[in-house]
Amino acid sequence: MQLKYSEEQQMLADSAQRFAQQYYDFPQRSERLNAGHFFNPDYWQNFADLGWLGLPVSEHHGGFGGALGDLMTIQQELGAGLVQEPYLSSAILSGALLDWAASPAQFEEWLMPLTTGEKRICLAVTEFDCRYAMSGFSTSFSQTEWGYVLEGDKPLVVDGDGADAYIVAAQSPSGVSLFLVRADHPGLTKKTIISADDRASCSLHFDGVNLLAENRLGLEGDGLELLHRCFNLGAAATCADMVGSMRSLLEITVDYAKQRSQFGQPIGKFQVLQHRMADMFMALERARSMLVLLSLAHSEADNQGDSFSQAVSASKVQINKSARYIGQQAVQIHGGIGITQELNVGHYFKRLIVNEGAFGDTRFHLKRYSQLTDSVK
Amino acid sequence: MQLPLNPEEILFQHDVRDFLDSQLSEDIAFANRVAPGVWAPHEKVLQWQRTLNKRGWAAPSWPTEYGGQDWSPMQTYLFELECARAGAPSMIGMSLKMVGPVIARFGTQAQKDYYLPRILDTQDYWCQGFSEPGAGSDLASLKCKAELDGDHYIVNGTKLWTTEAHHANKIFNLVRTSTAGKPQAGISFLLMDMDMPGISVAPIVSISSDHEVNQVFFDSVRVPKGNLVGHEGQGWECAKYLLEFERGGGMQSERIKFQLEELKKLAAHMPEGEEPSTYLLADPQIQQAIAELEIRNTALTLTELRIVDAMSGGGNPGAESSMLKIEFTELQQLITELSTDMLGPRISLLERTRPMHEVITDELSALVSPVLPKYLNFRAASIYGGTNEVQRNIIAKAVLGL
Repeated sequence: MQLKYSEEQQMLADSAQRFAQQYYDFPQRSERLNAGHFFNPDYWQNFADLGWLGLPVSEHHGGFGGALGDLMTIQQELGAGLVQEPYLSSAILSGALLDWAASPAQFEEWLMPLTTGEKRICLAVTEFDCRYAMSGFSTSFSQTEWGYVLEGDKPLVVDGDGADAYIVAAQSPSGVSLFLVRADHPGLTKKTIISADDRASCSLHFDGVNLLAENRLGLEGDGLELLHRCFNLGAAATCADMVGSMRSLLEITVDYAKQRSQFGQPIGKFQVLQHRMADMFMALERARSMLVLLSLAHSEADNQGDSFSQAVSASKVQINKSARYIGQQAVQIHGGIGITQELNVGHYFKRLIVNEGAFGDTRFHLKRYSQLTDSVK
Repeated sequence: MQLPLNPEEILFQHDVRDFLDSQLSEDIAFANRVAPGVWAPHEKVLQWQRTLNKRGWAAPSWPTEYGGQDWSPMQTYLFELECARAGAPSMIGMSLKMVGPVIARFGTQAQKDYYLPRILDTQDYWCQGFSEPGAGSDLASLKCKAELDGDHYIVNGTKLWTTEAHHANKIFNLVRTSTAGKPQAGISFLLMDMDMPGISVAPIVSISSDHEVNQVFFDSVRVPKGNLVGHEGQGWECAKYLLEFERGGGMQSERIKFQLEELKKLAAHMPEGEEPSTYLLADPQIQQAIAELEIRNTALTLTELRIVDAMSGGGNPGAESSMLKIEFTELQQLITELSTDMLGPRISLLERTRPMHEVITDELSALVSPVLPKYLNFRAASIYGGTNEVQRNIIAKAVLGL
């Protein structure tokens, strides 16, 4: 049995850490974000050169066919370093979706350039009335003589500002289908949203967007199944990001408790805070163990079945709980400075709360876990 | 629950209700309802204070010769209860509940005559110079220094987390006038104008994009000796007197009730997701989570009433104020947490424009937009006014004798 990082994974972790150290020194990061520089093409090219953009794509599509554990290894370091590059949205999710469903023409036009960093594609799925459901969208499609027409709104496309194209989930009476829509397609309007975790996201409005049949990704009505796989992948990667953020928060908090002095001694000498930090450590260890569960569950043969979904739900529930505790206590131990723009602690705290609600909140996954318990032995 | 009131108290309660019905404008109540910070926007609060002052109700707990009302503890309680119920903004404490009572208790006649009326009619708006970069929970270790030079003190140092310093025209400052003896013994209470040469204010913005607190710098600021309250070295006594009021000065469970109602409205607007046209409020688990908070707040209501009852026999809130501070802030935080749990994928949206009430267009955004900023901001509630760890220390020592 081998639960530690493989040699390859250790190399991925090391290079991701080096990237964060080099470009995400906290004052530098703040300066860039305050100046409105949310996306840096050079950094993205750097991701491509390191082979990370091809990692989610299988080898027969020219990718590196990375396992979930590899993707999570990178994502964990991005979370640990407060790295803003849209890796999850624009490489893992769109890369995987295209890998699963792209036609040969779509492969040429979109997947290849995605892995080289020339094109960036984001998912336009979320609608607030659906919460986390992947059907029942109000964005709809209907057939025309030459293809399809799309109507509706997607209020939140994470990292969507500046993307070259979107994979849009739309509903018809017969089910959900996915469509590849260029950002400059006639009838599509975009509004920039700087999301809570300082990402350049957007909302999209589809007003009679006419598409050809070749814009469809996968078969008609295949959307739900594809999105379901995608959702699990997104949740798993988010779990890794959160573990990275928690790791950093604990380290920063312990350091602070050692050097911040009140009543003539470091506050880390007070037993009440020592126990608090010991509990934070335990919460982090629970979270780390769930990442191992995810890797193991995904390596099993049937990695899209209910048992993987159940592992994802279990992980997201536990990691959400750990994240809330660690985030809140990191702020409390730092005092007022913990919720200011000036210190990284508050930014980790905010990233964790946003990630808690990404790809299913605790309530959603608790419910799904309980439902799956009956079907998984 | 029916309060056991006597006929006089019932009349008083109706009086307050009538006043609020006719005088509290919708725009002030709305600004207060959606304010994501700890306080409503200061211009709205001051507007409301002027309305209260016309009726003589801006500072009911002050001595009557300076505009106080000589109310019984039950009357004071009923007044706060009705204000909270109506959605009136809380008075920002620094002027009315902190420096006012200190001047009334420790100030000279001249100081009382000059400062107290100016507080009531909002000519003066005070901020509080207590915490410093190296003196948070350990307030007595503060270093901001005031040295006597003829008829003036020369003040050098800095204060941190100074709420509203960017709006205030006055600051009351704890300064070190001596380093001899116990650290508490060398602290004095000094009044200053914010436009005195040598004072500068640097904003501190929270991760929710709210600007409420600041750092204030003092570079050889000359302050007339007559601005001292009490005598040199009496600052710690003034501060302790004031902090009791800061922590326990208000009965807050009715404000919690108001926030719980907002939470229910939010839950009634947030889709469940899986079932069309079904909302989170219909989920028994959500109902139970809200019920749990309601029940804990009911306990707080009764605790408050027991304290009001005890105070009716005379006396200040003592260690009870620590207990109330913990209960109130923990409940607040639990409500903001549960509200955040309602958001689902909306958690990614953060309204950064302030004041919030100016950008809200409909009921849905009135319910949703304040939620995340409040969750982020109210993490400070267990930190300010003495951290909840320090409050527990006080209970352990002063109540349990540990």
